[in-house]
Amino acid sequence: MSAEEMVQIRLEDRCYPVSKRKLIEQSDYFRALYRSGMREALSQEAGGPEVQQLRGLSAPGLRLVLDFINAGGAREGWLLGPRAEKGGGVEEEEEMDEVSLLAELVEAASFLQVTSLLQLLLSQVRLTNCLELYRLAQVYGLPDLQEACLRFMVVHFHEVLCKPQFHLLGAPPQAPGDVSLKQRLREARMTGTPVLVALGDFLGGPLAPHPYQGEPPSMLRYEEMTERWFPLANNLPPDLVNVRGYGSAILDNYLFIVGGYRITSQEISAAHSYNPSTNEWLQVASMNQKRSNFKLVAVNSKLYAIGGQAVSNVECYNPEQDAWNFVAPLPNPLAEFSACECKGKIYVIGGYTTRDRNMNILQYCPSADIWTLLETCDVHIRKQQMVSVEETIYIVGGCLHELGPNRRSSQSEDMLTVQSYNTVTRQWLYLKENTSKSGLNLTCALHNDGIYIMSRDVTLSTSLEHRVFLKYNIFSDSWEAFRRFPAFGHNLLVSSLYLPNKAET
Amino acid sequence: MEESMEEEEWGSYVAMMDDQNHNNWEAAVDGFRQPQPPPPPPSSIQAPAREPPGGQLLAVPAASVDRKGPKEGLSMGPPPPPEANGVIMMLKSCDTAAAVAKAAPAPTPSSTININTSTSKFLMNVITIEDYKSTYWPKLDGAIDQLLTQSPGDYIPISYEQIYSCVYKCVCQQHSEQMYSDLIKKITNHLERVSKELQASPPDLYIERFNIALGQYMGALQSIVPLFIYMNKFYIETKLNRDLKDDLIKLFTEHVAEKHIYSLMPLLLEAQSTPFQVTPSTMANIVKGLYTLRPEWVQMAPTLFSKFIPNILPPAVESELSEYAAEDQKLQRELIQNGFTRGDQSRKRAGDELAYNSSSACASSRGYR
Repeated sequence: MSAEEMVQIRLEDRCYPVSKRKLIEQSDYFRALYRSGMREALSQEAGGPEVQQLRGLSAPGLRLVLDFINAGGAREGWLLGPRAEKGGGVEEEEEMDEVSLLAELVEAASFLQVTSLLQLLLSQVRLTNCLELYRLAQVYGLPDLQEACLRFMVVHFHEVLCKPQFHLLGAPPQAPGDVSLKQRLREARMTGTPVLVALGDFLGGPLAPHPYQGEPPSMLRYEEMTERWFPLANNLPPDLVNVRGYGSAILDNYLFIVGGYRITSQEISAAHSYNPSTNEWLQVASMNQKRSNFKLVAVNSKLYAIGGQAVSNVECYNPEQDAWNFVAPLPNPLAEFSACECKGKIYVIGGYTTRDRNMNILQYCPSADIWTLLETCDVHIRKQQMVSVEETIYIVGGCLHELGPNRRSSQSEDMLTVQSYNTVTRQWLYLKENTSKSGLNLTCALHNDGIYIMSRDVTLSTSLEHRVFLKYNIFSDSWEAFRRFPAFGHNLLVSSLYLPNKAET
Repeated sequence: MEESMEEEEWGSYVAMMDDQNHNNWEAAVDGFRQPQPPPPPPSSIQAPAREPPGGQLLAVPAASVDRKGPKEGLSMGPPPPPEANGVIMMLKSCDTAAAVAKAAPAPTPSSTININTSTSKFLMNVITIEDYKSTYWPKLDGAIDQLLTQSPGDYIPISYEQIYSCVYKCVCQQHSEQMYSDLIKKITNHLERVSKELQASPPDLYIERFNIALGQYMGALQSIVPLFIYMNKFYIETKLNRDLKDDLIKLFTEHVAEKHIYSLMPLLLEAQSTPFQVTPSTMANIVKGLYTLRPEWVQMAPTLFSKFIPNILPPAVESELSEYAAEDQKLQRELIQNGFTRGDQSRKRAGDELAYNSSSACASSRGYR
């Protein structure tokens, strides 16, 4: 085993020496070439070529691939690692350079079929290169890489979505049956295990359900089989702790927490989103308007921040631009109202206007950007929660006040009720009541076949009366009470998120 | 100097392939592409796209230059008439592409290639199906013809790099499906011709000719399959879940071997019983070849196949040891009767043995080879 046999590879005017053994080992192109029996396969003495001529590839791309081959294949931390680590600080131009170098590298590796290098790229997918790698994978027919990029983009959907280059890839469907990339990613986010998640300023101490080490967690997940709550391996970002009256909504399986007020100071406009796929909080663009005690509603892949304390304006957040824009405002500022999405429209019910009770049901059409008065009802409701299934809105809790001659009772503050409103037939149904519970200050979420309800505020002194964790089954119209309340705490929020399946994490 | 001889020998075909820049003949095709489907109306997206790419990328033939002339003065004259290569998106740099995207996100290209932001020279020019048919496939067609008709071991004057590049470009430009079907059609036609020729051959040459056809085809596959590895990997394996080599071997089975097996097999059996009618190597090649093509054919002549392929017959059984011994003894008796001696049984030293037994050793070796 003396000196290795070297092959000269010529591209344009330059020659690159490579070990022939390594070349055959790593490159399917050269392995096939030397087996083909064609002109270039012959040794020089037998009339073969002095150099292996390549054409059409770029020199930097070829050099990277040949470096890889000369190094004998995959090395730790090779290639894309160092550049990607620069992270957010990468200048636009530098990123472009990286992108074009990446293209040249993938082309050379694809042409020469250096499978191990292409395989290595699967673990090199980053926010800075995922779109380019995805495109390259399509061009050069690399299904594994395409899959890896898709998986990455699903996990980091909103971060990818707001990149300007996404539009280049996000071409609309080419064939009738096709779905766009955006649609594919969006659908792929709705996979995993649906899990109830509770957020709040939980109190530690002996009354906590689990003996937590150190600070009590601010995020819990519910395990239905064992009926137990477990801490999520993450907490609220520090600037969200002790924020009250925020708006929350789930968009593309991100939990958004927007606005609110701090007990110590005033209203805020900041917006954060929790991504269960990465178990990370991201700060996104802040609203233009500071607001609290407003409603945040997700409709048609956008968020709408509706009203607030003495505020009638409405803002729309588009994750594609990571920006908030004002849209048509509410006719009046509203307090203690509620809103939800139903069949692509927003419905606002209840609460007070600056002068009177709000008896109107307002409907907002996002495509027309118009608020309309749908109808006026004769029951006044406030502080309720609203969720929807198909064309039915479920109104959970709140304080009912029937006007008109046949009033049932006066005010029913000490009762938890569930009513439904059909947006098509406009029919109200008084579904269920639970007299032992209060309908005020609760948080609820649609989850599986029911509405899971939890009281929002619990103080230690009255905790026994106000501990609520139950489920309204919308198909059987029945209550189901759970014993395990997550923890004592303030500012509770319950929501249903898809958490990654354990095998995938 | 050898190069120039080749070029004479292989004529314009090789000359066309040997140009310094692949884009030469791509650009040249523009000349033949005058009748085109109506190009899309000029839009904002096409203005940057029409800028000719870097000088060395396109060695534009004269005819093409003339047509490109008015384009340089885009702002001076009236808008130039849409031209044939107007559809070619030559996005030179990412910046252009990004600018285009920001300016007009709505008009979206119909194929992924058009959003190409790279400077790839291979993908610079869109290969239309007409380009493929008029330029790329003929080039492959010619190379395949040569490979199919030459004898195994012959010098192959074709450049691997040239043909591979051609396949590579067609795959990257979404012509895999067409190319695969063309390749299968081409080889099917060839094999049908081979089969007809075999049918016409006289019985005494039949076995030898079948052997040649089989050998030639398998030899050709040694070169054809490597040329198409890019298509194999990125189309046949991933989209069709098959393998090119298997597919091409199957073609021989279907179009040649299956049609001839019933006339071939009796001849093989007959030849086997008549020493030296066909050389043992021919026999071995054919039997092994047939076994590769379709292992079930063993059933037609298990004894014949077992001579060349291990583990065809059931394994030896202890209870039949005496029968095996008897068989061997019978064989030895026959050998002696035919003039083969049993070899030396004495305990002479090696050197003596050589001198003593040389004649019979020669005889026996000749008998087996």
